[in-house]
Amino acid sequence: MNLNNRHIKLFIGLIFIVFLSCEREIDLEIPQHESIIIVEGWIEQGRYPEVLLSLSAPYFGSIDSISIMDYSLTGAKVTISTDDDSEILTLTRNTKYFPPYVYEGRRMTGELNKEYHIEVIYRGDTITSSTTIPEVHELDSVWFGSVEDNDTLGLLYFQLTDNAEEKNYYRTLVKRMGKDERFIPTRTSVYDDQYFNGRTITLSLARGISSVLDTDTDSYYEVGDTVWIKFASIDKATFEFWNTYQNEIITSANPFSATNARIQSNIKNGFGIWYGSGVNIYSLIIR
Amino acid sequence: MKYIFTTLCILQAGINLFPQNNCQLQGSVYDKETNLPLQGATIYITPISKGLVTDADGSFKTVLECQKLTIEISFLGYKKQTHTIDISNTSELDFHLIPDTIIYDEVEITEEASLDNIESIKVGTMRLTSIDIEQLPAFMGTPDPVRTIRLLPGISSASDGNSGFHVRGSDAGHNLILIDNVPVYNPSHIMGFFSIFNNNTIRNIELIKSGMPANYGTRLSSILDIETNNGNNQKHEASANLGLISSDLYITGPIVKSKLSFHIAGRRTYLDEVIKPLIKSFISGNSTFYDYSKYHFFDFNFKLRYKVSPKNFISLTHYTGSDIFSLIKYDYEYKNRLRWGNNVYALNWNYLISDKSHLSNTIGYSTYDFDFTASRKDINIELVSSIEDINYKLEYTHHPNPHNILSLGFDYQYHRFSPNNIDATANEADYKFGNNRILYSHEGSIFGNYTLAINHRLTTSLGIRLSGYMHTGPYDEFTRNEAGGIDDTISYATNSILKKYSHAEPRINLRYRLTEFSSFKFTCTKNYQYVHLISSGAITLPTDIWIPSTKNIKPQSGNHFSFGYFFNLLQNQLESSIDFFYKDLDDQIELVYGIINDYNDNTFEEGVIFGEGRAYGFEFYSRKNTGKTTGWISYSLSRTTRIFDEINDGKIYPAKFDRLHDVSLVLSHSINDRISVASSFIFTSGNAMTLPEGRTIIGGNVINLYGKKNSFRMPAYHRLDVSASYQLHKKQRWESVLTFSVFNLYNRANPYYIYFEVTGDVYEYNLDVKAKQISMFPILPSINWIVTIK
Repeated sequence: MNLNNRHIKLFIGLIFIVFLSCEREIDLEIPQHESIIIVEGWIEQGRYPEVLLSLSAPYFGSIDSISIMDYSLTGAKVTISTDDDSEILTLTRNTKYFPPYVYEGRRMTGELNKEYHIEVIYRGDTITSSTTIPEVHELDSVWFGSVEDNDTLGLLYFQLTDNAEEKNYYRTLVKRMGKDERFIPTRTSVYDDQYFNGRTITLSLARGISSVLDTDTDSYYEVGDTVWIKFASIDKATFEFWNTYQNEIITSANPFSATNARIQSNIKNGFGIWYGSGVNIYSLIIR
Repeated sequence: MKYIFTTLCILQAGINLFPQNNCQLQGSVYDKETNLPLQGATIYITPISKGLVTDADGSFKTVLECQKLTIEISFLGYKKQTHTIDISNTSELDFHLIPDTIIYDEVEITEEASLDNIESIKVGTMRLTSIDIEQLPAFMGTPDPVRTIRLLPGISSASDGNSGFHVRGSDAGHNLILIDNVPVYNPSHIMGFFSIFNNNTIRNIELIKSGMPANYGTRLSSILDIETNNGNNQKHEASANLGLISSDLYITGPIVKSKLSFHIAGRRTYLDEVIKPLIKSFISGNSTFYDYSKYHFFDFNFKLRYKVSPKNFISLTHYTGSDIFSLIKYDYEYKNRLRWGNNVYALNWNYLISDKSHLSNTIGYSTYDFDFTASRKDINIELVSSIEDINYKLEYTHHPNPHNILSLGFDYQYHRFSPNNIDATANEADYKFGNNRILYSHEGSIFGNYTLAINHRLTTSLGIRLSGYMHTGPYDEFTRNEAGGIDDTISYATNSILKKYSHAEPRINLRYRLTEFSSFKFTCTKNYQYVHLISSGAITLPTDIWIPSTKNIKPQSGNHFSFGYFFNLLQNQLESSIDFFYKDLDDQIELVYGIINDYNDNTFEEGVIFGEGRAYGFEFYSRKNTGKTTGWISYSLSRTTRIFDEINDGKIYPAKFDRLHDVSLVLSHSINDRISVASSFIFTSGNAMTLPEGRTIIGGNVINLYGKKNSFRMPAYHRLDVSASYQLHKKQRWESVLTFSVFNLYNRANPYYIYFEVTGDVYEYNLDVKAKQISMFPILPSINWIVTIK
């Protein structure tokens, strides 16, 4: 067999296609999905509770501005209660959130170290959950540090002294005035003190993305930004939820990721999170 | 007359100048059951009426005219064998004689007839030689034992690009892989595309998938016992296999003739060097992944064998190999490096006490490690995992006659584990991932196995293995307070015992001969496994880690039953079997999160969960070993399930490599002395996987809601490979063969992984999800040139 250059080139060409591998769109038969009630609700000390409700959608099929209304849950009865008080929340429209409806409290505000129960009744289904607002913790300090060779961009840092006698979980969110509509979790947003129990540590607050579809993946802050930093104490279930949530977002399309990790919901008969936060808010003008 | 004289002179000169073509006929004769050399076996060369007798090493040699010969190999108490061979085409021959259990019934075992399938008490043992492997279509022209065994019944791989193999519903970590009696922990290169075994160095491969005798253990499922060749102790030989992406070289020969022989082999890929410069001529436009990445692997094998005396043999085997991958993206300041490899030494001493008893000793050292580093801007992470073993095994075999075999012995392993040592720094913060923990353990067993032919119908093989395990210090154990913080640390001193386990592992094999050409075989075995391979991802990776049993991690155990009907058809030309099996596995281990998530002071133990496994099914196998056309068909129908309290709400679910159907069809045909063709076809049910069934939006992100664990099936996997080899040159001193092979002939896009891509904008109320399938191998032709110098 006479192998001229063209043949050899063709062979090699065919071979390295392997190492590029091949990717294509496929159709899959997916089992029917029965919608479940999704809860994202929170209560902070001194503030009214807020609860977002929706119905889960089948995995496949597009969502557009018409079908989205099918998954908004606007006709539910949402009750927040403590051992000695309760309040039925009121539905209001708020485009900061998605779907754009929030069930809000008008009378009862959160108190530290108190337990709060949620009950959602919708078309005969009742879903429940409970949470507490843990004691507030202070940061030692917060500051801005610019990146090398760039005076206008940088990261925020904070110093925290952890209480050795307590088991602590924390969450950090940041809102840039005039740029973000709401507090956005930082890139690493939840912390378990088992890695620094009783120690004084310094951590950075890399800017997170507001959604997985957000194309602004830069993690820096700019000189001139006014930022609000929300430092929240949370309980274990809340930590587990946001920690597994973060893992799921990072790894859901990655074959190398663990397969047994799932988002740990604290909602009975539904899915999502009802959480209390002991919150401290710090503001910083970056100069 | 003058011309006639001149012609005769030239002819005479020619004869003098080119001495008569002589070839060496040499080889060894072994007992098929015990694999021990047979001293005093007779080799009778029919055409020239010449006889030879094997020495204590079971070996024979002579020099003959190069030609096709018929030889008879016989020994009292064994079936006689007749073979036709072309000695100009062979270097060393091994014959395995079968004990003759039918007294006075001298069935001539010729090339066309073997009763091994019917007679052997080794129920689930399959044997391959390097020649069997060479005959099949090879991936990228590289013959590969592990890829070949995946074509046998009951053996499957998870998919393309998955390392390891699964035997009857067991995990990849349930297989013990031995090179000259020493364990090797990761048999794969480049995620299973190639195994670490260089076919040139292999003499014999034995795969025990059921009926494991008591002299083997330490794993639940199977033994892949790879015996390397002893090297040619008479003359030097070399062969090279030149391929498009890798080449290998093999050299063997005597250092002291008839006494000390060696082989040395090396293999390296040159994907980077060959392919990368060419990529730009095929792919124009944007820079690709290849601009940033580099990958290669290499293997190195070496063996020395010394015949101290006719009854004493010492050999030293060494294997080392590594895969090295790196990815550097300068614009993102991103660097990533992954390296993994094995390193094995085996020192074997075999002593023939008499022609009826034999002592073998092995001292081994084996390591496996991987090292992963990644850095982006000022975030760095390094993950190192390793296992280091020192082994010793002593086995005494006594076979007073071919119908009775007694094996006694013990083995010992010292393990040093470093399962998941992680260093990470993010910005200025130094993450505390706990101490870099090293775990020490000792494992050992004493065993006895007795094979007895009760009568000409019934043969039994009974064995017991008493195994023990200790996790020893130094070790720091933490106790936690209610808040989960570390309350106290208990430090154990070196060699202090933290935990002991001991178990009895009975092994029973029965063979009942129904007729001359059929038998029933039954096996029942119990196994314990004290070291565990845990998988970190949805696919098997080199980053899967080995962990030891500890106080909190119990040894895994398994019971395996199998019952089969073995029969030969068409005058023994077709060796066939139907085998039913049932296997249950206890204390199976899964990681809840990945290995990197498990970064805390608690050790890896808090990141693992325990459950049970089950597998059952039946296998059909029919094989033709003789004639111009050889091959086999195998079919398995089986179910493999797992159950863990923490997974799938505690309900039973299919294992990811559960395969209802698994079919292999292998054919090779020799057209003439120069040309042969081969093909292999494989069809298996798709892998089980977990799919999202619903989705929602939380925190502004689309969140998947998953269905039941592994409730979805990927599309079926099927593939046809073909090859042809053509002998270009065949001279006394050298020969060369050109092989063409086509992998995945009809270009099936087999699924490797399925993922989902979400596009659109939540706040614009516009979202779409598409399923994407990644496939590894399209149609893949390759050409290799194999040159052998004798």
